[in-house]
Parts: sequence; structure tokens; C-alpha cells
Amino acid sequence: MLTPIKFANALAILGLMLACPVAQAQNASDDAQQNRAHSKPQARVFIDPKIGERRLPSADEREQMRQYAQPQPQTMQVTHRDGMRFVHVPVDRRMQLQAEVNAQGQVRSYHGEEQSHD
Amino acid sequence: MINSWLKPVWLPLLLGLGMSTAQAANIVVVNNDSPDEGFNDTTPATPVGGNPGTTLGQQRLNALQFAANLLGARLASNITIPIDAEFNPQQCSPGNATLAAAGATTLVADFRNAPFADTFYPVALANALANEDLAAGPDIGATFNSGIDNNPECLTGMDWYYGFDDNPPGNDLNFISTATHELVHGLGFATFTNLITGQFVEGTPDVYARFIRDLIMGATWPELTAPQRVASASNDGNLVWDGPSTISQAAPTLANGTNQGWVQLFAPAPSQPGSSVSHWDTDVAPNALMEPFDTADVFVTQGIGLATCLLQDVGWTLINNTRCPDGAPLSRQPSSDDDVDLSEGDPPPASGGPSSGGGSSGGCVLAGGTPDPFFPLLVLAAMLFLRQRRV
Repeated sequence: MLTPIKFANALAILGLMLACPVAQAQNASDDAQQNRAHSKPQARVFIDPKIGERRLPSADEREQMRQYAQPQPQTMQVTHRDGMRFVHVPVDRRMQLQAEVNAQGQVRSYHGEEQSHD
Repeated sequence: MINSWLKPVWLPLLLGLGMSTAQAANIVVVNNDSPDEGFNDTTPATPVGGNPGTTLGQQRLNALQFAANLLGARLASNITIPIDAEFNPQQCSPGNATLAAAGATTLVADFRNAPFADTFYPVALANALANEDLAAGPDIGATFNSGIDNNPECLTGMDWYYGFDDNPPGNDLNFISTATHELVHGLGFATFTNLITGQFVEGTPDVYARFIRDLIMGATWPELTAPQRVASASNDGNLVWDGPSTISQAAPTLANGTNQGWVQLFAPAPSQPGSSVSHWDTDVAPNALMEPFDTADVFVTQGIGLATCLLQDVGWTLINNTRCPDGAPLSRQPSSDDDVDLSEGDPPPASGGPSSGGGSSGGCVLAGGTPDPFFPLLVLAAMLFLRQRRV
């Protein structure tokens, strides 16, 4: 007979069974994000989920790592809110003021800018 | 029911009075440096040119805030304009150096009260026009080269001059002039059009680009294709500013640097990204603050010249009787033995300057001072209170 206590235990076990895979998936996602965001590409470790041991990266993953190793040009990122559009201007799109000393020992300042190709 | 003296004739008038009195912009330097470096450098310094700082860091901070106040006293905004500022060691050698980098941190389009739809505005201007803070965080980012100071290996020993008096000794670099120039870029004196491809950001013109006209092609930049804009950017002498305030009030005052009544923009061939288009032409005479090359005969303490006209064209409201062009001397000239006065907010002397009748895109407001943006609400509250008492 299903007593109230047994029923409560069953509910708890059922809840745990449902929650654990979700938590695992969430952790895996967080790990992946952290790996991308904070690890050097060379430091990434690939684990074969079937045998739980290290494996070599695939061609796609090697290409992905190669791209991560390259400095990426900063692009104008557009976001939308309340019907407005916002563009975050990368630092490399700021006006840069340079200076040169001429033969007479005088400084001449001028603007230069690293324009990213967005 | 509204009392007789509260008829609609009075209400809009009172509301209008309140709304037209925007206050002088509060441009605030946010010190983004770590302890003992940059703005926090504790190297002892002697007060100079009205700058009372006794450490290198204090003098740097005072000078940048002075430049910010100089602009804030001329432009209207009820929304604080934070400048995210740093002094960092940057490239420097005896022959050349990076001096500074600055610009708007964010562009905003399609906000409330935007004069042009489908147009990106620098966030400080967008905030002023919308009368609300549309994007949290700094509005302008600015970095200055700390390696220039006290470094004989950098620019053959020249230093930043942090005095407030536009009077650097020898070949030292006038910091307030440099900082003012850079901040004006951050307030809207710049296009974000890619001069290599001719593309607008996300296909949308910025407000500066809307006023760029090519006299040979007979069109403004939004009317041109991207390849045409690339060609136009090096159309030396024929790329001009098509803003009504600048045309009507600034161009007639110039001895050189105009074409058919328009003020020329810097458009050398080949194009110089970073300098081209976002400056006045070097032909402009008398020299102007917003030319691409430093000109020793420009004194920001005497005003920011044609820049006020352009800023008015892109949407800023001038304040405190600021003129277009702005050649007003400070009402108070600081000297080296003065007490600190970083306010620079003393209005230029009142005058019936050419812009006092109101410009095309805002014009001068009624008065400066510190009007209350909640004035209309206060008026309404007072009216309701009085009505209650009468009832």
C-alpha cells in the first residue's frame, strides 16, 4: 500500500532523477563557456565521453582553436531595446591622436585610426 | 474642471518655459586608473598655469576636468556625461608617440525626440535629446599617454602641460587643448562611416554623416553609395559641412576654407582614416580647434570656435549665450597663483551674437543658470494646490 511517507519519498526520488540531468547539462554548458572565455586555446582538453579519456581534437575543433588564437578584429555590436538600437563602439574605433617631432624639434600632432573591417 | 486662470493658453506657456531651460551639461571625469598610476600618480608637481595640483596625478585629473567643464558650460543636457578616462603608457619614442585616443562609447538610434529617424547618435547627445539616460555606463572613453611625462626618451623630452592658461612653455604639449579636441569628437564631431569600405554602421548613417555634402557629386553622404562615399572622402576641397548653423553663421566669418559658402572638411587624397572627414579642412582660416593637426594659435580658453556651430547642427543646444562660432573669452582668466577653479562654468559674456536668435537645430536656450528640470511638475502641483484651496 502506498503510504503518504512512501509517496513523498517517491516524489523526492523522481524529482532528483529529473533534476540531475538538467544540472549536469547546465554544468557542462558552463564549463564549455568557461573554456572558451578564459582558457588559452592550447590549454583546452578534449575528453571522449564514451571512455572518459583524452582524445585528439577533430579537424573542426583544430580550426576553431586556430581562429581563437588569432586576434579578432573588434566589430560594432548592435543590440536592440525598447525600439532603439545601440552600438557598442570598440576601443579600436576611437580617434587616435599621434605626434611626430620634425627636424626643427617641433611637435606635429595628427589623427590616425585603426579601422576594423566590419 | 480647470479654473479660468488655468486655461490652456497659460498651461503650454508655463510648461514650455520649464522645458526649454535645460541646464549646462555636467561632464564628469571617471578616474579609471589604479593606485599610484595615471590620475593617481603621486609624483610631486608644482602648481602651474592655474592648475593647483601638487601631484602629477592631481594635475592630470584637474586638467581633464577643466576641459570637460569648458565644454559642459557651452552645451545643454540634463543627463550627466561620464568620461571613462585613463592615463596609460603607450607607444612613445624620441621621434613619435601616441598622444591620446577618445570617442563615444555607444551609438543610439531611434530614441525618443531623435531629430532624424534611422540615424545613429553618440550616446551623450542622444541622452541630451531624449532627456533620459538611455545607456548606463560611460558616454565617452578617453585614454592619454602617461609615458610622455618626465621621460627624456619620449618626444625628445617634451611633457604634457597641465596649466589652464593655454600657455605651454617651449615645445610642451597643451593638454587642455588636446583633451578638448578629443572630447568634442566624443560629443559628435566624428563620423563612424568606414572610410575604407564606405559602409555605414549596420547600414545606418550617423548624424555627422547626414551633414556631409560632396559638391562635385551634388549630394549628401546618405544619398551616395558606399563606393561613392569612399571616393568622396578624398574629394579635397569639395567635401563640405552642410549644417545650417555652420553655413549661416560660421562660414561668413572665415577668411579661407570655404567653398560656395560651405565650410570644407578635411578630405586629402589618399584618404587618412582617423583624420579624413571628421575634421575641418586645414585650409580653414583662422585656424580652428577641430582641424586635424595641432595649431599653436588656437586657444581653447578663448572658446571652441566653429565647433559650437557643428555641434549645434548635429543636435546640441548651446547654452549660456554661447555663440556660433564661439570666440568668447573666459570671464575669468586663471593665473598660476590663483586658487583652484575647475568650474570654468562662468558663462561667456552675454552678447547679441549671431546665434542668439536661435539656430536651425535648437538654437540658444533662454538662459543658463541651474533651472529645475521638474519645473513643469512643480508648476502643476502649485496650481492644483491653489485650486484646492479656492474650492
